[in-house]
Amino acid sequence: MAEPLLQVENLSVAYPPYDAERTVLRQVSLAVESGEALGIIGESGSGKSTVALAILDYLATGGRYLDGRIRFAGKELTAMTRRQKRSLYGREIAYVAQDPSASLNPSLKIGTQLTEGMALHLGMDAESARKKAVALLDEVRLRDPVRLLDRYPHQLSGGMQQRVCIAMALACDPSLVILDEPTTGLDAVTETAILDLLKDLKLKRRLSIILISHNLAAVAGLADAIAIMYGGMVVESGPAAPIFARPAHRYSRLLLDALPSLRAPSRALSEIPWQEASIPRTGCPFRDRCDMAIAACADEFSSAVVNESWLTRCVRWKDVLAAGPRHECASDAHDEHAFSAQIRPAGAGTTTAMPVLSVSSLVHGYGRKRLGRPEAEVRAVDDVSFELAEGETLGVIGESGSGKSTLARCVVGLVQPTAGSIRLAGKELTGFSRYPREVCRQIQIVFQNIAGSLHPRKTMSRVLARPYQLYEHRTPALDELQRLIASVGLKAHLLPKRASALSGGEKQRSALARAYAPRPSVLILDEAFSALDASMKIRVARLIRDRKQELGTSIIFITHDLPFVKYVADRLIVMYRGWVCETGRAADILSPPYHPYTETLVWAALRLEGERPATLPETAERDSTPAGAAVKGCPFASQCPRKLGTICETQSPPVRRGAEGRQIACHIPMDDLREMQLAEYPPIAIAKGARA
Amino acid sequence: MLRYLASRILYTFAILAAVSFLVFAVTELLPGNVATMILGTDATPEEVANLERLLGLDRPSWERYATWVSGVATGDFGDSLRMQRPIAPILASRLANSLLLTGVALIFVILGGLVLGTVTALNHGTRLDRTFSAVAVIGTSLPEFVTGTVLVLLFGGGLMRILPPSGYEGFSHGIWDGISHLILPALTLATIMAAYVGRIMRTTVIDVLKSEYVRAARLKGLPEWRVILRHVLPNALVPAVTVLCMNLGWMFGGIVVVEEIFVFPGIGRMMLFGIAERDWPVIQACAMVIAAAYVLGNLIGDVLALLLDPRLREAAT
Repeated sequence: MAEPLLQVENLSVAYPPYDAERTVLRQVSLAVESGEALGIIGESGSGKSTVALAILDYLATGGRYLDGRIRFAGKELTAMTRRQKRSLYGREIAYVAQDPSASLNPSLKIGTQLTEGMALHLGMDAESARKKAVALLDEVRLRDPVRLLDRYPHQLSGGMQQRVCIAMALACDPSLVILDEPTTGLDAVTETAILDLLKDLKLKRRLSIILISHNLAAVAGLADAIAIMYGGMVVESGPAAPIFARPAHRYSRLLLDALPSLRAPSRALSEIPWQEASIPRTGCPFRDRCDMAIAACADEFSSAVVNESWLTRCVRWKDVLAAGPRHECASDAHDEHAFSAQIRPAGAGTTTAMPVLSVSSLVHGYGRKRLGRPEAEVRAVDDVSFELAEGETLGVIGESGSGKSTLARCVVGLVQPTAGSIRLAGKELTGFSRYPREVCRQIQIVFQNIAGSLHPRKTMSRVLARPYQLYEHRTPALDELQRLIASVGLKAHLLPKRASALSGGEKQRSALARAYAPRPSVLILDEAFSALDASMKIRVARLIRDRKQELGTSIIFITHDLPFVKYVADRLIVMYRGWVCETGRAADILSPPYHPYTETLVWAALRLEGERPATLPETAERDSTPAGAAVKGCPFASQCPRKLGTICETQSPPVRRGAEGRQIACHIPMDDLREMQLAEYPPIAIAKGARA
Repeated sequence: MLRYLASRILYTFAILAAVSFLVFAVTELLPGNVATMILGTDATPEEVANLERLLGLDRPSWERYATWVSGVATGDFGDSLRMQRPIAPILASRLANSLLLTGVALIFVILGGLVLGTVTALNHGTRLDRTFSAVAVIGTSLPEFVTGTVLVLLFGGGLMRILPPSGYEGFSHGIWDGISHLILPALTLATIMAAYVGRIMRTTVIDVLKSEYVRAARLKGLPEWRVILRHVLPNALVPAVTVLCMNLGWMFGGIVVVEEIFVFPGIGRMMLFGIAERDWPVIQACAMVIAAAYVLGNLIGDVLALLLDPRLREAAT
């Protein structure tokens, strides 16, 4: 067999002071065959981005290669001079970063950024470089490429920016493209489109790809080979399909089992214990969290060959393999605790009691004024109504810009709604310019950016004592704080630490503990767990469920993660550009979806999971009209795969009501939709799962 | 964008109108009767009343304000009471001197601030960087009369006599003579701004160097000088230039002190003369011009920021 295009052998990388604790990569070996895609999977902090940066010779200040070598197309990268390397990067190896809006220069036109590499590496003149740039933009499926060249990055949507970044990477026809979490910031529909594009490019250009992601589903569809990383080590690597079906490392197994899926609802979400102490730096890095760990795990273990190029670093890999393929062990003991079964209230009919929170006809608009003349109002939240029963979890889903967060901000009183009413236990809240303290106590929120909402210089005990001081005018005793922090599975030794010294997962749980401390009746989680890895998410979701049963708190759960919300929520609201297009029980709404917009969300999620319902035509690139722009007719009309005709553009859709509190806003009658959708999304097990 | 510019210019005029009102009101409130001052204390009441009528002081103040403002709008600042001749021609030559001084100071600020700021940022963490940062802190904290005096002591005759400490007479005695007289006052005027702008430039360049688009540019294989010229500087200049222009007016205000130290025939000394002599039309004229320089500096800053940052251009449409 010919030598792989890129080969990383035994690479170790460390930062000052270069001790074991700061060794971020340990004996990493990887290979990318020409024309193939390698997926690197791991939690945050597993070192997967460092691998990319090491290949690109762009380690952060002080980073040093301790050991090992990197070979690209037969040449030793680590032995090259600066000049030699510079002729390689951009020309042979290209890079696409996670955040497209940050990796495009805001003050240069798209065309300039696309062509500068061509002039440099290929010696092209301006005219031919421009022609090639147009062809590239066309290749990444951007419409109107000629006009795009003269636009600035901020004038494009996130999905378009990422396509431009990919085009930029392809500018000099490289043989290897490294993509670091290329779809993390994008919504599911755009994400699917980008991944499809990558698949296409790989085939057409015989392009080699390294795709780094914590989204297992994203990698599964594209990668020929995968490497699973943990604690700076590649714990398992080899061909993608067999590993996804039946991993040979206990960590891979748990990670893959923790992946919530739309289609396989009865499968239990396995639990991986938290990483409490620091990751062991010798032996298996995962052994502290591993339920199968034995004494031998602490010894150095190079790796075992499962099958040809399939390597695992698990000492007990034979036992792990013996557990059988992943999909067969669907129902194990955990099933009893599956979310869908337990958190659902005994019957949806018990909502006769007064709702804890009721929101009706809520509108929040940004009226822009210029030189005194008011402009067309932009509505971020447009006529939203819902009720939240005691102990109920309401999921709010929709892509970015759909007004989910603005809705949350209205409910907690951070922004004042333009119209409509918000009632907490029957008490009208919209009249307050600032909520009274008691109302604040009852409605708590956990924000998406946890790190930004915890005071970095305060110790955790001060942060956590604050709600008691504020709402109860007393300073809690130490053991009370210890109980509080233990309730979210954290150890008391964190209390004297500053918030900035906590890990991401610890911050997340501390924020949750802080929000629970005043015993709120409504808890809003605004994309609070979107940045967490699959295994972490499941843990946190479990925590929320346990606490909810204890305290009877109602929860508004805002997310764009469809499979996850299915496990957590009782009822769902689907939002699009500030407008509610579908409401109903979580179990019903996804199987099948009624509203065409919900359909595109479900379709995208399923497609990510590797299933390809072929019927839905690829929706056009999300246009860049501002979210909630005042539109006549149905806001979704221009993107709708089931558009009826002009009626959708001229008349706003009627709200149709169905059984079990289900509502949709669409011109197509509910029964017709039901038939259409059932044909494509045959009832899946989730229908049975809703045993209530 | 044109509409934004139009509205900015409109704002500028509105501010100038407000300034003119304030300037007039303040001089109006100055103690002392002008006519008495001109004629001396032993003038008879008739003589005083006569002169007041001659100067138009018997008219109501709003009427005098209207005449003055319409005069200012057409470039007529009235007559100096002390010098007994029109202010406008004197003002014009003095203003030209001051603008030249500020212009030279601005060159020093750009060289010292923008260039040094960038260079130190590129050598972030080295001894050069630490030295400059320390010097910059000293520079921003020294008032002009101190720097001016120190510079005169060092170069203008105290320690060495390289540069003349005073006596600017334009370029009539040759170009070098003119320039040599400009260097010390311009340096004094530039020190604070250069240090301030340099510090801002240093931090923004450091930030931009860490940005993902600079990483993307480097990973395209671009040589470092191109990364800096094409990708770093255009983005790093925006805050520094904005601050620089916002402080242009402030710098122009600084000439009052500097011109006095170096006996420089500019608008600042003219204003001091006006104040000392209670020559209120001169004070009004100088205050108006300095205020206008301030407001125009801000306007230029806004326009430059628009040119540098396409996102602002977008927001301005």
